Amino acid sequence: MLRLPPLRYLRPTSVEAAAEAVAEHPGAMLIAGGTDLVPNLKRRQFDAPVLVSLRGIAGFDGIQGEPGRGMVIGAGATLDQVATHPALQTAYRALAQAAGFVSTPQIRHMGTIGGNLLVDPRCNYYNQSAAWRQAVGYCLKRDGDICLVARSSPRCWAVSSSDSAPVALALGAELTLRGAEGERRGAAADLYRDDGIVYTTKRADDVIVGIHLPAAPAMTSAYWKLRRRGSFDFPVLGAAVALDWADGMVRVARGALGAAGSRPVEVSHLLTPLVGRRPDDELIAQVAEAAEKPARPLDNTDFSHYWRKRMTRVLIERALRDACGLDPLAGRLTAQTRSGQAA
Amino acid sequence: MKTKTGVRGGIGQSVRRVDGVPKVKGEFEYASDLRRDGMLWGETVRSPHPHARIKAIDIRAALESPGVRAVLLAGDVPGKKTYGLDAQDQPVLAWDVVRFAGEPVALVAAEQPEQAKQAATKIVVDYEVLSPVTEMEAALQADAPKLHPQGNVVRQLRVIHGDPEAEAEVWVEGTYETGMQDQAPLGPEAGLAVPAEDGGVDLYIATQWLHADLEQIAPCLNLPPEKVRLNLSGVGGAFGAREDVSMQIHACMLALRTQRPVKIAYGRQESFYGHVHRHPSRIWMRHGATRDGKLINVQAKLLVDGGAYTSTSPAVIGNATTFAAGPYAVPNARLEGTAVFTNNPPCGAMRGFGAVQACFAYEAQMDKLARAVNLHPIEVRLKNALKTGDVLPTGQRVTGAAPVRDLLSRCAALPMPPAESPLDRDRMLIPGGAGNVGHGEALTRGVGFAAGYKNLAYSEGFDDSSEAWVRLSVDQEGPLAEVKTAAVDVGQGLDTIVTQVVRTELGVQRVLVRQPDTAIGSAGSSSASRQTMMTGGAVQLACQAVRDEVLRRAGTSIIPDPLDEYLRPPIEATRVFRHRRTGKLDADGQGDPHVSFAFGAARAVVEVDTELGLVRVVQLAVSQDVGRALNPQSVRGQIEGGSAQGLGLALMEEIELKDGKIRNASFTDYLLPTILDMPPVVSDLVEEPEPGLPYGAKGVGEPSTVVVPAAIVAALRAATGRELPRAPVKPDELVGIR
Ligand SMILES: Cc1cc2nc3c(=O)[nH]c(=O)nc-3n(C[C@H](O)[C@H](O)[C@H](O)COP(=O)(O)OP(=O)(O)OC[C@H]3O[C@@H](n4cnc5c(N)ncnc54)[C@H](O)[C@@H]3O)c2cc1C
Ligand code: SF4
Repeated sequence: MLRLPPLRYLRPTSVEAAAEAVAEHPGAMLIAGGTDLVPNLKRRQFDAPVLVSLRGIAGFDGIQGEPGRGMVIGAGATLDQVATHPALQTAYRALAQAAGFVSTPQIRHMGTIGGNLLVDPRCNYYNQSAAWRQAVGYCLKRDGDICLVARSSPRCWAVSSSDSAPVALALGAELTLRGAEGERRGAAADLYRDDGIVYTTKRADDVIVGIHLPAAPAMTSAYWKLRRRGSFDFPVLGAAVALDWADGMVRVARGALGAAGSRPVEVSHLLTPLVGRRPDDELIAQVAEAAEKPARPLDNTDFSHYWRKRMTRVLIERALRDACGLDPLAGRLTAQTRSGQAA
Repeated sequence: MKTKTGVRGGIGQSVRRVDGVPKVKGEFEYASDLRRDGMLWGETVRSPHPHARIKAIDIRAALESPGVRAVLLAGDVPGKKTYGLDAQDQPVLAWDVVRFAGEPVALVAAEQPEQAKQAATKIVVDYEVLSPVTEMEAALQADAPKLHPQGNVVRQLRVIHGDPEAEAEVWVEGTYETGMQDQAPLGPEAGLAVPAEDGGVDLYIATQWLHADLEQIAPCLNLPPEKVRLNLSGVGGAFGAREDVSMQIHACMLALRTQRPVKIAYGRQESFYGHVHRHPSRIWMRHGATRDGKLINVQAKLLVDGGAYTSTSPAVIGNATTFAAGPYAVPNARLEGTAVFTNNPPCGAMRGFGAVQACFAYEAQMDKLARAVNLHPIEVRLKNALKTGDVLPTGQRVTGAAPVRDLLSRCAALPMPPAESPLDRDRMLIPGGAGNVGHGEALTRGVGFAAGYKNLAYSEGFDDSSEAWVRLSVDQEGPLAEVKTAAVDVGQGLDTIVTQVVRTELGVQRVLVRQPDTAIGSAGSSSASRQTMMTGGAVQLACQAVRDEVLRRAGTSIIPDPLDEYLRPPIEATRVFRHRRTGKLDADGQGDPHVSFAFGAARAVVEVDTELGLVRVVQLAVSQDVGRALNPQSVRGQIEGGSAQGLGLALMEEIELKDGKIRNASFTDYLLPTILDMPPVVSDLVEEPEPGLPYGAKGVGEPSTVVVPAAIVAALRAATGRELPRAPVKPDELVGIR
């Protein structure tokens, strides 16, 4: 069986101590639920001579507030807590959905929302045992010097596969990070880099402490997750949308795609035609067709990338209709499929 | 036979599984739980290349690695260097050439598993990488590198029946493919070898067939068979994956060398490399019929990928080819089958054993024929359904039960799932609903049917007998029956069936099934749906012998009650059960190859999101020819499990290979259906007792796996109007990409 490499395990009782412990030990990594990190370590996808656990920190999993005032979610809250919290079932519903669609109940009870934001980008050539990677000659992301998916590419295209990351962008979430040198707060969107290897802007010792959701009493949101089976699988495509409303009109429209690039892919700028309008079937279909453009799936996950690309507009249309409360069966793209079939 | 009144849990009843409670409570000891004081851990070094020449192996650093007690190479194999169930062509450890990625090259034993793993990484194998042959057609080209001295053909056979040139009014044609499926038993391969004082070895092992393992292990260890003793350990599923030897010889070699107990336990990834898989197939068929749909001529060319070594490929292609016309009366046929060697992982036994691939192709053809002659799929099948007395393409006459018509009409008449509005239903009941990617958009329903059949027990002249020992004694609690055989309960419930047989035959409530080992004669394999009939039969014979002795002692004609006074001294009997003899095929594929057959019919109802290509199987209905259900609940369990594996093949399970290397050797990427993917299975047991088999019971493990993939894909074709010539079906194909 695959086993963990020898390592030291530290369990500090405060965020500050955790940040310092990582700063003190070169190569050290933070571990929360361990549900992403441990399998990856067992496959030797990276080394971590020291693991600094966040599980000894009291109060790291609190969920406070409500949509009218905004909310703060402790990074240590489990996916299950996030999925089932009553205050997360309305305006911020997309986040509860994303957490609830992760894997299986066992993983949702171990895995945390902070860890979920930081899932190591995945690739068929990378999420493999050391022996397998050796057999194919390694790749850029670990031990090698080419990308096996795009051989001439100077960069790694591993896929951001977090369910909550696109939602954090769509909801306009901010994160507080606490590092050895102090605390700072910034947009969730700024956490991510478009690179499969160095996929965040945070330093190793930065602990995500809290996720701040802005006050949004009139917001609606939705997260749609494409995968093969009824449970268990990582997304092969995710669509997160959030619409803030005033007088029946869209005031702000934000959206992001998951598993469509090495970082959650912003599509908010492509949703602006919705702003100031009361979206109807036609408008949503047009927006969906335009909004699939930035999705650039490569052939490194389950399913063909042609299909994943083609399904992007379908997912965006459906997610927008969901967030607008429109009849799911009346979508225009759906109607096209229907008539195509009849023909 | 008479069952004494008051004895519960005889045959015909849904007796609760004897192993059920311990398994659910986690108290059952599986092979991976084996432990001995002072044991070492074995580790296998495998080739990363699908095809390479070994130039040199440097083990010095590994030998000096902490905790290491032995490092063994091919030169250390004490006896025969190769093994195999059929041809012995698979190296225990490769010495000159490796023929598949994952082939064992070296072994390490160390005090701790980590130490063994560390040392394994320090073994330096210098390979000259050769270009791999990974396509079946390419392997058959004259200029292809020869992977074995005899070339790249494992077995080729043809079945010529009637006039294969016979003309027909209507022809339909197609080429079909199935992917490489993994058995994915939940318990990975594991075993513990303990050196014995007599210079031999005791092996505790999870396997399907102790004696076939023994026959392969002993010569490689250069030991007489009596010095190699196999004891069955807890088996966590098999489905064919434990038919071939995996770590058995390796653990014994390490134990004999170190004179310490050695355990080898594969993890999931290694399990993917460590056992054979279901053969991928490419099958061309052409069916000729009259204008009203009566079959006249079936032409088929079947190609299956045997991978690097022979394993059971000859029998698999034998099955696929002889069954290629399906459970139909066909007057003329030319069926040609070829199993090829490639540098892909070796393929061998998996539930359905060649019959699955053939059924996928011939049932697609039957649907094409139905369309061509404008008949309902059920009608065209009824018109051609095989029945007792009919002659198969091999010339073999079907003498036993063949209720194909009955199965088809009963299956078609099973209750359909109610129509559901796309909107007012639980989201989980929408394709992709669990991921919120469907709220009922673009749904269409389709219904598909398939019928198929499979042989029971081993074929083509093989004598796979079973031996059973029964002892009836008495202690403070009263009479006690003990049974011993070498037959393996792989999870299918054999020990429970054996208990039921003993209760029925001897009228004794308390039955103890002893752990199988090789001290008793072979029971044959727990495969080919054969153990209930073969070992059930042997136990029945032994019980009858014991009963005769009871009656003799008591001077009565029925078993006396109470029985106690007649059991001092205890009564013992050992008996062997054999099925009727079968014969080999001649050059034209004619003969009497199969013992008996089990038939099945399935109906699948599917729903497709035609925009996304996601599928929900709404319901599976299976009518199965079971002869007689000895434990109806177990039979239904087999049908449901077999259907789940069939659904996996139809929709998601496939070992993906790239240049011969497995890309998805984990359960994150090799997708098994979960409970959310499984629909309700309506199972219908058609009981027409089979003459000549104990209680008339047929084997029940495989027919559902044979028919369900074909039925599901037929339903997808009905829903989408697309060709879908390949399983598993991907969403791309359902929405017309590619
Ligand atoms: C079978 C399986 C299926 C899965 N399916 C999905 C899926 O569908 N969707 C999905 O999104 N994920 C999936 N996951 C991945 C994982 O389970 C989840 O993403 C989970 O939320 C990770 O949280 P964790 O607490 O276990 O993170 P860990 O594994 O502990 O950590 C993950 C990463 O985050 C870092 N980290 C964790 N917490 C913090 C913090 N507070 N501050 C800074 N850094 C931190 C760690 O250093 C590490 O780099 C799956 C995992 C498995 C094993
Ligand atoms: S995208 Fe390329 S570099 Fe990145 S993990 Fe995959 S193969 Fe390696």
